[in-house]
Formats: sequence, C-alpha cells, structure tokens
Amino acid sequence: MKRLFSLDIGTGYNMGYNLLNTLTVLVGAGAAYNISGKKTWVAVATLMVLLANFTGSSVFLLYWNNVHRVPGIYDIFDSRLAIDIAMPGTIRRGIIPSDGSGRTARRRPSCACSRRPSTPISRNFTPISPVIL
Amino acid sequence: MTLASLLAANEAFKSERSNWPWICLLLFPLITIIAATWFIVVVTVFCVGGLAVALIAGKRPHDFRIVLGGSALVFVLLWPSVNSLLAGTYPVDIHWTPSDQYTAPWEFVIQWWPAIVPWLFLCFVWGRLSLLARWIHLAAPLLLIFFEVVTFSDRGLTIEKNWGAIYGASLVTFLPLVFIQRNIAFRLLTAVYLFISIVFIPTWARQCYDNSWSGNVLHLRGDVAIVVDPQKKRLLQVLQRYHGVTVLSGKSAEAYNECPSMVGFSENMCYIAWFFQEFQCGHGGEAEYRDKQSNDFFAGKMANPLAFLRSNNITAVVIWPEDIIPDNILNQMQAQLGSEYYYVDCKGDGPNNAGVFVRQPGTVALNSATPTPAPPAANPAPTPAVSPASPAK
Repeated sequence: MKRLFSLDIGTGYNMGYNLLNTLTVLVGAGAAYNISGKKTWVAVATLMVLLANFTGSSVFLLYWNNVHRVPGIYDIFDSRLAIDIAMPGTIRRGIIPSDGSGRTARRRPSCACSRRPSTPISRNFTPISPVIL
Repeated sequence: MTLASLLAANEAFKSERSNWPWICLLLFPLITIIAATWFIVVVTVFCVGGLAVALIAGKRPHDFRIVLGGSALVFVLLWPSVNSLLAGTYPVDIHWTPSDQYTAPWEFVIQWWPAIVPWLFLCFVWGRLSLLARWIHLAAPLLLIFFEVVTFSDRGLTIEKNWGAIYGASLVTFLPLVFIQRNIAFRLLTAVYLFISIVFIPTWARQCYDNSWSGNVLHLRGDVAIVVDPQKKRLLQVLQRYHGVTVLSGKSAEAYNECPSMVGFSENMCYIAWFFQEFQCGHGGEAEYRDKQSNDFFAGKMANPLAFLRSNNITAVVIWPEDIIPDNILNQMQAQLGSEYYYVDCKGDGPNNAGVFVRQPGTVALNSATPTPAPPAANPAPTPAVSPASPAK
C-alpha cells in the first residue's frame, strides 16, 4: 500500500501510459476478432503486429541503421522517413532516453528524428503510431 | 478512440442485438472532442459511417429507447466540458494544403506500404467482404486524401495525428481480413507480416536495452533522459534536496524543452514551463510575461535579477547545459545573486556550464514570511564542486 501511494510522477506516468497502450491494443485485437468472424488466432496475430510497432519506413530504417555496410547512410533518409511510434508527441520533440552520444534516436528504427530540430520537411513525421490516443 | 469506434461499429454489426455499441457510436465523436480533438474527423467518419452501414444492413439495437435515453443522458453530462471547448476563442485555421507541402509519392509508398498492400489485396475479394468492411476499405483512402488536401492549423500535426489514426484503423481492419483468406497469396502476405512482427518485437526490446535504457533497464521512473547525462544527473540530485519549492528551470520555451521535466522529477515547481496550452486556451498573458522574464534573466538583461528572484520566492535557478549560458553571463549572475544565492557547479567534464543557484538557508523572500529551509542533512548532496565565486556554502 505504501508503494502504491508513494509513486513518483515518472512511474505514475509510465504505468498510466502502459495501461493506455494495453487498452489500445486490446481494443484493436477486439476489433480484429470481430472483423475476422471471431477467429482467435487472427486476434492474436493482429495483436502481434500492433505490438511490433512497425510502420513502412521502420523496415527500411532497420536495414539502413543496422545492416548496410556504409555506416550512417540512413542519415540522408531519416528526417524524411522519420516516424515515432512510441510516445506520441514526446519522443519526437526531445524527451527521450539518450546515451549522450546523440545516436540513440537514429539507431532506433522508428524514431529517427528524435532530438532533431524541426526542418521544413518535418511535415512527414508519419505515421505516428498504431497507438491512437 | 479510432480503434474503439471500429470495435463499436463491429459490435453493432453483430447478429446479436445489444445497446452499448450504438450508444458508443453516437457518443464517441462527442467524447473525442474532449479526449482527442485531433481525431474528431476520423472518429466521426467511422462512427457515422458505421451507424449508417449497420442500419442499411438491417442491424438494430436491442432497445431504441435505451439507446436514445442513454445517449441523451451521457450527452447532458458531457456537455459542460464540450461547451467549454467549443466556446473558446482559440482560432482553428482550416485551409487547403499548399501544393509544396503535399507528400511526395515515394515517401507515401515507403511509409504506407503496410496498409497499401493489404488494401490492394482486398480489392480482389471486395465482393466477399461485409458491408462494414467495404465501408472501412473505402473510407480509409478517402480520409487519407482528405488530410492530404486539407490542413488543420499546422501541417505537421495534421499529418502526424490523422495518419496515425488512419494507419491504426487500416491495420486492425485490413490485416484480419487478409489473414482469414485461404488463397495462397493471402497466406504468403500473412506470413510476411507475422515474420516482420516477430523480427521487430525482439529488435525493439534489444535496442531499448542497448540504447534507451542504459543503466536503467526496466526502471519506470522515466527520468532516464536526465540520469544518463552526468551534468543533468547532478542537477537533479541538487534539486532533490528540496521539495515543493519554486525553481527557475532554465531558458523558457513554449513547450517540449527538457529542463522543466527535471524540476518535475525533483518534485519541485517551475516558475514557468510549457505554457503553450495556456496561450492556446486564451490564458497566455501571465505565462508570456513570465516567459519573457525568464529569458531576460538568462540573457543577463534583467536590471535587478535578485529582486526578481526574491519577489517570486524562487529558491533555485538552474543553469541548464543545453541553454549554453556563456561564462560572462554566468559570472554576471554570480556577482548579482551572490549575496543571497550560492552556486553549485555541476559542469564537470561537460562542454557547457551547468549548475544551480540555491538560496542560502534562512533567507526570507519578499512575499514570504517563511525562511528558506535548509536541505535535510539525511539527504546528502552529490558532492558537487563549488565554484570559486560562490560566496557561501
């Protein structure tokens, strides 16, 4: 009980955010269950896709960030393909974990533009997430 | 709200009669105004369309009176909040998107292929889809086109929010419809999606472990961005010696600057922080005044900074490293504040100045009869280096 009532604000926010995400993917899985004609495996598979949090550019960025033999080649793309798929509205604008090297954001496949100033092409920050508030 | 609308539409479309899905479809647009206004168009389209499609398909609620009565009751309860938003004076600028801001086709394909591919596949089985599925199949691209040509206030936010909503709706609608098809092409597509998902879940976990959570794996405090940086960690430790005091957290910005979050983590209060929503709701006068005061202070332009701090009962002033306060301004501050504030230097090996001006214990603010309490001895300071210019410690 003491732990419950002495939550710091960060933990409180994260727990609330996790619960909201859980509710979101639960609703998504519920919709998928109905749409598929009550097939449980389809709901589970859709849940997997939602939890995987990938968007179109995530796949490309994952390759450019980790596999391509030329390091940093993704730099020419990432601001145009930038998406953030974790915390809407916060990650992109700079409240993100960082190792201080400035590379954290770019190495994450789905939040390539984190900690970067807005540019004239920032209109393409999309899609933000399958997690819809 | 978008996915909930889809769920309600599907529930209303079921053969069993019920009331709640119908009430939800009627009320979700109203709730969206309060909870997530950016999605009002998407949610309204899906809700109104879902209602219409269900009625056209011959679906009916279990009891119309309960649906109408329940909706009316919730409407009345929600109205005060809705009215307070609708009655605001904040202008909403809706305009046609300038042609130079249209999304480039190649960007669109790269971003959206996870939704486009199943959408195209479903065109081949369109005749076998339910009326509701056909409606969503039709509405998703129309909504995308709508948000391509219409901008609400800011182009980036319009795209960011609404593409996310449409993307989520597309995933939970198109993918299940693809998954249940028995054709070999659909099976292969299903395998591709599941393979990618299986790759991405551990990849995300690994990258979070390696990069994002260094030293804080599975901790939920949320202060990783602060504590992984030695300078910011020391600043946080200094502020944590106090509780509930007012802090000038660094240069002020209308939103999304990081330094106020550190003050929040230390459980103290910011003199000014993230005031954009106050301005947006028509209460920006005081906030903008404080914003200017704060930035004048850190620019060294304030004639009498000590009086400003005393009159506002500000216990600590943060020299935030990313504000890049130059040495001459810092020296000027130390000279101006030195009689009542000592400086805890947290620069360490960092490239920029970092530290906290802390009001000396026993000093009384102009508008407060309570002297500044000394930090509790049981909570030791992080052994900060005290600058030579600090007048007292």
